[in-house]
Amino acid sequence: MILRNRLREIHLQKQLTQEALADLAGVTRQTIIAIEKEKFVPSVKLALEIAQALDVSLGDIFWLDDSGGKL
Amino acid sequence: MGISFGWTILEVNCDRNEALLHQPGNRLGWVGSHPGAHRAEWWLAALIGVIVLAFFLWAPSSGRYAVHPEHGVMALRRDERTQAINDKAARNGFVVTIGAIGGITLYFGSIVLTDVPVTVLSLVLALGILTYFVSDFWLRRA
Repeated sequence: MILRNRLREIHLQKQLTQEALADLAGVTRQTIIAIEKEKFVPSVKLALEIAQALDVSLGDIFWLDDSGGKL
Repeated sequence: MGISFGWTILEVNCDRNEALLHQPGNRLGWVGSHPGAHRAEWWLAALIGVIVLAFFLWAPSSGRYAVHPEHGVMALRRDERTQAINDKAARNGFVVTIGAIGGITLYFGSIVLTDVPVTVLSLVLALGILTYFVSDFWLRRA
């Protein structure tokens, strides 16, 4: 299963830049980019911090895609 | 009293260095109390200061550290991705170093039958450090 996300879509909706979101979540902009590109799987703690920063629930951003591949 | 005592020690050391300077073949002679030695130390301190300042100017925009102003002087911290990259690079460097040490131990212990030269061990350490930096760079490329 692959962890998918719609982080880019949501932070653009909220009119937040990657830099601003990174500051709110306490990580680097490169980490936000890596999560958006699904090259890095965040911890539950970081995922919750991102959801809190965007004022949405965790399930609105991340979901498991079981159509193929490994997590 | 304490200050004058300190100056006395300094003078003794200077005299000792001057004495060492005149001994033939003495490799420590350049540490002596001539003005050039003190000027070199001053430039070294300035250089280290510039490097440290440059690091703190570069680090916040490097993508390697997240800035947490609430932590004061410890404001630069690795986030979980950069920490994971650092851990993987360190693991790779460690594995390569241990593998190379094992390899040269077997080679020199069972084939060449001599002691392992220090230069070879230095090369192994250099290889481990190189592996760390190459891994770090490779893992960050995304």
